[in-house]
Amino acid sequence: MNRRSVLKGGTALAAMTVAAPAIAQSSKWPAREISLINPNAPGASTDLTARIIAQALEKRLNATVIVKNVVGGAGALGPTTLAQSAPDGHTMGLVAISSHIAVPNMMNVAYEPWKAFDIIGQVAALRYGIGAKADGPIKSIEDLVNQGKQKQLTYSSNNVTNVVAMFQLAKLSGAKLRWVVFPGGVESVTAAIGGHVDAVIQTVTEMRPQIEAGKLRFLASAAEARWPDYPDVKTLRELGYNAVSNGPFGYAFPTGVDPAIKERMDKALADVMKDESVTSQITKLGIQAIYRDGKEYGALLKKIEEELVPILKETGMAKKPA
Amino acid sequence: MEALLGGFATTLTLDNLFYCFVGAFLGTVVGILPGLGPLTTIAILLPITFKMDVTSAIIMLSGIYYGVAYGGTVTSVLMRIPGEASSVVTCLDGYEMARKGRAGAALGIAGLGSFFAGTVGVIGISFLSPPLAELVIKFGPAEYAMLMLAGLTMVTYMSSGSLPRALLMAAFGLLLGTIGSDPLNMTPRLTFGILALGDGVNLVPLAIGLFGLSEVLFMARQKPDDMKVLPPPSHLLGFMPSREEARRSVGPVVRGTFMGFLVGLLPGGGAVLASFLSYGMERKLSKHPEEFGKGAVEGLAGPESANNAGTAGAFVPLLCMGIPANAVTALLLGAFIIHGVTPGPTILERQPEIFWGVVASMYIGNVMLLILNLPLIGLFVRILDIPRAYLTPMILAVCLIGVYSSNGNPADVVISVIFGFVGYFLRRHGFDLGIVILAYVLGPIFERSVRQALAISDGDPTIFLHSTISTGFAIVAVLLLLAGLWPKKKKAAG
Repeated sequence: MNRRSVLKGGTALAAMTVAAPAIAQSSKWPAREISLINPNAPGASTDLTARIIAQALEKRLNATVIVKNVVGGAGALGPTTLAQSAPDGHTMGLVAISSHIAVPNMMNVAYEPWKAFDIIGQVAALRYGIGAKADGPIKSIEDLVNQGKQKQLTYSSNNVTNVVAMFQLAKLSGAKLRWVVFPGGVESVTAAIGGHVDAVIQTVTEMRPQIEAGKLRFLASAAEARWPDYPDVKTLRELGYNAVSNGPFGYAFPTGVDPAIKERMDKALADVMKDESVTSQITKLGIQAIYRDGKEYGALLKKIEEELVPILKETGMAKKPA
Repeated sequence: MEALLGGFATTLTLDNLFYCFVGAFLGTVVGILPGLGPLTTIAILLPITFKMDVTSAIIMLSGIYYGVAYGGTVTSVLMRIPGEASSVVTCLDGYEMARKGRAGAALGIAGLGSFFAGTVGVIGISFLSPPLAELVIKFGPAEYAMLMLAGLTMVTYMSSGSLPRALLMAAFGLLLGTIGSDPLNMTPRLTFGILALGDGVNLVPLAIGLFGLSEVLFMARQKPDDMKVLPPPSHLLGFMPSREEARRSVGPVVRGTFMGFLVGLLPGGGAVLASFLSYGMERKLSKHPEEFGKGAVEGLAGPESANNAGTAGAFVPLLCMGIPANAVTALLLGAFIIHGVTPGPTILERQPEIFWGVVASMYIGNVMLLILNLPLIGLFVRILDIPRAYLTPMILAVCLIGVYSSNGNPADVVISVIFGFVGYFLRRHGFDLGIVILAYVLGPIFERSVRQALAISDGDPTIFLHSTISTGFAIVAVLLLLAGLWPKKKKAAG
């Protein structure tokens, strides 16, 4: 028997001793407050959503749910903390493109994205759109494509998950579109209305105030569907380009939570998402309240990974192979 | 004007006055406690406001935000712990004043200066918001790059020692600023594989380490006799500055206010940059530049006014454009949206009662803050009566709790302690720590803006001279640099 197999045996034994009290725990869960880890700063749309969801979960689980902003490590600290926390049902956290795709492909992290989490479900999706300065030369996606074929155009955005549709558009149309990274979503929009970049791709929340004020022209929805508040503006797909940016987010336990606890949490979250007052508050933020259960949500993330990894490589954002 | 009076009518209900007071009071308390910043406080209170009236909620949350700018002064002056980033400069001369027995006066001047700056700032918001907001969108990467360059030339004004020493500290600050994720392609830089450094060294642990913890180490090494601090006058009006101090403060307060308001308008640097610029400016204008760093009243009055005016200035792009200037205003923006208010160019047409209600509450809030803060000064300065043997460990504890609670990240505590030793070492060898912070704050914004601008222009550097604004700042930067170097050269020659 070599050392490694001894270690393996030891781990299995430890897992068993951990599992035993976990079963006993399920009857009196939640025994204390539940922490909901959010890797974004207070005020981010994911944070505001988390606070709405937390409040709604409290009533259903009869426990305090605290949103903990574990910000840092360029977004890696939150999912790492979640992956490493005790799987006793008292810690849950946000899982999204960042935790499963972007972060693990961009830096070395101490968790395996597809193994470390037991996904509870998706609660929302960001809706993206493409805009340009209202009194600028670009009046439509057609203009953007045509002018982009003649000279290099630039667009602003703050996050790699946003820009998928733009990369696809550039590839499908042959236009030269260069992404200029801005530190925040609103800064991106401001850069576009100031004429510092030619276009912008951001979420509804960030673009709507300037669209309503007539400073930003809303060229196309970069989501699966048109924006409900702007039913006349077509999607990129309807315009003939099969290009979509997805921004789903939801929650997960670290792997290893007692199935009975997981089931109760699954039910509670599904019930929360049926609550009209919760979904309307989320919709107010300019994001879509969409519920998918853990399995469906996991499958969606897997599909997005195939689109995103090539872009990470192309922009030089993907980590160098070790 | 009529609209503003309408705003006062909205605010002057018992409920709204109460929430205004709660906000201002919480802001003061949070400002005093280092680390526990407005960000955490507003985030925690946000769900509670879901059920509140929209205007009341926003009045209270805004009160926390501008109240912090008042409270932040106290620990900077009394213990050399910057309560938040924009009070770092206050540590330089405010603390020295306290050591000379002028703690009450320092807090009094800061309070009165803050009140003046806050009120002028609100007047600015009331009458100039729409045109000023238009100015903000004129600032693209090229303009920011040149503004930051002009800000960085302040290095030559901040230092009391020789220029090479100042430049060495600036380089150190710039280097610290490059730790973390690359601003454009997000790859980790200089993190040595340490996850906690992925976002770089945070400002709170850095500033508290360099200033607060290094002071604890200093005290520990001092002979008991050297530690004597002159007791501040303990009578009721002990916070009143002397005639001489008052006379010397007027100019800096007025200059700091106007400059702070204008710089505060700009997203990114805001109040922090304003306080540093004001310090550099006062030092250059002062008849007693040799007193700076040793308790010059100008070095306290100017920056303290500038950071409060900057806080007010940040409301202009927030309310009129929906552009947050910093993390806290970003959170406020989220709070507005959650309450169904969309800050932006349309707010004045669609929800004028909220806009003017908030503005009116800021006038009232500033008065409340003044009334709240002045009488407390007498109480605060009593902290200095505590024997050093007890005070020092207390400062140590406050520093560490503050660092931890700023982000809830234990790694920050380690980082802070490391910088405590670094700060001690640098101060023993006569280096200026203010420069480190200045370069650390401005460097990353400068780098990002330059690289964004060059990405837009496809590598053509003339983009920095394409607009009047950026060309203007480039010229200012050159002039500041020449003016900053000139007298020193003369002295070296003579």
